[in-house]
Amino acid sequence: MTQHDSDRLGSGGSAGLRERAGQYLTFALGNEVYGLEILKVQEIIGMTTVTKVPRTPDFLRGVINLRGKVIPVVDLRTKFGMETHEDTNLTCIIVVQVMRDSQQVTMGVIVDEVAEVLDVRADQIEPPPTFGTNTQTEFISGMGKVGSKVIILLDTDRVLSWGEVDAISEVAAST
Amino acid sequence: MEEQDIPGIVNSLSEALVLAEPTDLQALASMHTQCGQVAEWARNKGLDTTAACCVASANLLESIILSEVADPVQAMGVVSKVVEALQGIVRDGRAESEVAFPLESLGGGAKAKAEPASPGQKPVSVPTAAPIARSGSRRLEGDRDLLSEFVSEAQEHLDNADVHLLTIESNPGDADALNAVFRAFHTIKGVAGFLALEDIQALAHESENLLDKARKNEIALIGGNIDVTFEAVDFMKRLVQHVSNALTSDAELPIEEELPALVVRIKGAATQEGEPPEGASLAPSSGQKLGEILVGAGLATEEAVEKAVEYQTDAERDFHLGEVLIREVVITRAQLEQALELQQQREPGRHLGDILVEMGAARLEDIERALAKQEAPQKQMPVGEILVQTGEVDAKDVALALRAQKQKQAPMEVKEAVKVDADRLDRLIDLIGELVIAESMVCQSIETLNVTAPHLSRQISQLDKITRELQEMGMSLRMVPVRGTFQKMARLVRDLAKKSGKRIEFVSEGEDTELDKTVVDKIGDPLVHMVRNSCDHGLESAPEERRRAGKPDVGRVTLRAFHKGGSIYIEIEDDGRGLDRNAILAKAREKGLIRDGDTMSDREVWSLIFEPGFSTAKVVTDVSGRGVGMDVVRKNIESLRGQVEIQSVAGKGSVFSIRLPLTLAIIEGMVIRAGRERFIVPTLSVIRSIQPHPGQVTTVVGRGEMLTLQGELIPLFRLHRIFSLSGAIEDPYKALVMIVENEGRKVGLMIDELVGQQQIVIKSLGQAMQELDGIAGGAIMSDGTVGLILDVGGLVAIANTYAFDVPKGSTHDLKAAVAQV
Repeated sequence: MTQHDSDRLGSGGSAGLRERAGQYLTFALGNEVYGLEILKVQEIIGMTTVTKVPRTPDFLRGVINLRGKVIPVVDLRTKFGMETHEDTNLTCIIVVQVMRDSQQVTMGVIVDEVAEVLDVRADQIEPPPTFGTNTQTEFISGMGKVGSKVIILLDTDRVLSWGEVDAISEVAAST
Repeated sequence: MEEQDIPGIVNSLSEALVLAEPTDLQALASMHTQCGQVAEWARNKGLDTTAACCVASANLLESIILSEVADPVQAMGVVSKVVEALQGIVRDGRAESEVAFPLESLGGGAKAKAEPASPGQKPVSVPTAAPIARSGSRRLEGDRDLLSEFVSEAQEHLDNADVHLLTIESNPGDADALNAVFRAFHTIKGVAGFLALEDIQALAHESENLLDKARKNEIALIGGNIDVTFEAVDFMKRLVQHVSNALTSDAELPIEEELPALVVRIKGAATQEGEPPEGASLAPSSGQKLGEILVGAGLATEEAVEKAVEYQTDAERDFHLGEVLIREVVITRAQLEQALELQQQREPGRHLGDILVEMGAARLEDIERALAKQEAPQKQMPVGEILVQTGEVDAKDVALALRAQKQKQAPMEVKEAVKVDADRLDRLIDLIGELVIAESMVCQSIETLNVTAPHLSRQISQLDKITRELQEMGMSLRMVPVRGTFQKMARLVRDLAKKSGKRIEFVSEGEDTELDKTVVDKIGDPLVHMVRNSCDHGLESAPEERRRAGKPDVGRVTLRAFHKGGSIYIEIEDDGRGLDRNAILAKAREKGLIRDGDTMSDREVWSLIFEPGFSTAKVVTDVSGRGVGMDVVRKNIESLRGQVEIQSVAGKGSVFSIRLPLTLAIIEGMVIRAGRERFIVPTLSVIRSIQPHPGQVTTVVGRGEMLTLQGELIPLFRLHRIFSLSGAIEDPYKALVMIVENEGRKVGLMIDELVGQQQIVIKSLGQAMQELDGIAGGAIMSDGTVGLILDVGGLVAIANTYAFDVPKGSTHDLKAAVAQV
């Protein structure tokens, strides 16, 4: 974990970044391109009816029925504080397996559009940038530069976690 | 050992040696057995050195299995040299002295063992058992997979053994049951040997010995002997449980101090010599004769049966025409005597039949029929009938014996079963549910309904049919019969009867009734409690008391399960003294549960015994009347969404009736709407819904709202406010109020609309969203979307701003149930 933290702080050695190398599923949110580790991705499904769950953070769009299993879905636009818009027919849900409290949990991520699977080599990865305290970057594991594209590589386990703190502060803000 | 088998055994030994790894316990074990077989053969042939080497190899293999050898590979090499030599003897027909046995490598121990190898030596393939080594490590040594397999197998065997022992107790001659118990111990012994579970092996060995003697009719498994056997089964269960615990916690096996004493007792039982008592000496064949059963059960004397059999074989052949006619009720004995008189006096040459026709006592065809009957080989009269006729035996006893005969003759049907991982099963059921939803969405889409091609609509309806069948099958997969649980109760009743000295007959009905596996697993504890209650408090302790009440000496406890109206009922009935209304009322007054003046119906009185800390038993016995009471029983049953009811008649007995839902995974739910969102409220917790009239709703301190309903003040909560939903009706006189129960109190929930009622499959919201206030769980609705089930207790807690000390609601039971689904 310390390795991980140092990566995030931008002072990580190349060893940490080499670990990040591999295949990424890239997707678009607005004009930005993001990447999720392919090994964490279970499947991609089209947008479906999402049931909103009361008293949960806003970025948690709700729950869906994935072949008889109820899984939560996270709206990444809301999570990243981006402007939200109506779902289009390109909007889809990436189903991922993440670790929460050392348990495997299946979750969905709503994204604008799924692009492609990219091989990102270690020498193409740079540490995540720091923008001061206003922008949260702890869920970014690195920046990939493949050709002319810049891909924001996400730390799946972190981006899809919300602790008690988030939930409570959200609820407190809404009441 | 057949001579011609030996080359085959030696060959397979050499093959196994090449292939086997020193860690492959199964292969080593089978090689061990084969070495033993060859040793036996060699001994019979007088090949002493060969026999000794085989014995030594077997020992060596055993040491490898038990990880006592420092270098297993080298040890295997030694064994393979022995096998090479064996091949020389067996295949090439060389003499013992011509082949090279690796006597030196077999080591001093092996040599020492080789020397006493005389023709009379016991074959080593029989595991030596008795001494319980206390020296070895008490950690688990064997392969963990094998161990856990052993645990589950052994538990199954022991459960079966319990059932069969009960059969043996009621019928000591039942060879099938005896064999089954024997096999259980035999298998356990064998596997425990490989896995170095010394305690288990030792106990199994002694029990096996005892049962083997019983099988050979050397001793009878009755009285003290069967008690010891039951004890052995229980102890074995405990030992297996230790192994199971050690597997999960990686702890050492605890030392069981009582084991040696039990082993000595079992040995003592096994060495009892003497005549097998009556009953045990019955020929243990399934084709037992009725007479034998009757004699065995002490219902008829042997002479009586013999006489009856004689009568059966001889008597009928000599029936006279007159006798036949009397039996057919054609004529009376007086008429016959009259006819005989006539025949003798006047017409000695004339046939009796003619005379009777002439007298008008019988018609011609009657006579002809009787004659035909007389001549034809008569169907033998059954022994039972003869015995009843001669008054030797009661008709009822014969019927009982006949039933016993029939039961034994019906061969037990063994159903094949495949063990499946519960997770996979759940997954399959989930997928079937999903398929059903997808299928119904396809079938009901407008495009499908407008299909004009006849073959396509036929195929769609075929698909529909298969899907429904698959759904039914899916639901039945989780269902298991209550038999196992009932059989445990049989055992319990037996033990209780032994302990209390009461004579109790246990009857179980409807053992094949199926229930959800989770329910069957959880119903065990409440049932144990209630059966104990019936045996201990329900049934009278003294036979005189029963006789005075006009009841048979033997008390009866009946456990029955049946379907009724979409629910499963389990009833525990006893013919004891019944509940004492006055004692319960007195106790309730003492506890301050009721006031003096209260008039209560029987039903209300009976339900008092489910109150915490309520017990009317005057004597606290060892078996019940301590620890948890009926309140826990009710709680357990309610957590399964079931109900308990009592019927009782003083002096006649009581019936405890448990009603359970067919499955835990499905509930009846009321779908409601608030704003744009839909939610589900379990129908069980809904009391009623009303549209409030103006004036019925009042505010308290400007914040809380109360609803006045038939003079009762009910706190009112607006669902949309609790959940911050937009677009809901704000005017309480236009909205609906649903009165729901929470912790025994009524709560009003303001909603927009009641959408309808449907059966709902409960789903867990998963690890990520378990602790949500106000939501008990999720559900898949009929349109395939997810619905949320409301948790009324949680809602109330949210509504109260200082929610910390509000007790959690009753729907938390549902939450617990959801967590299990």
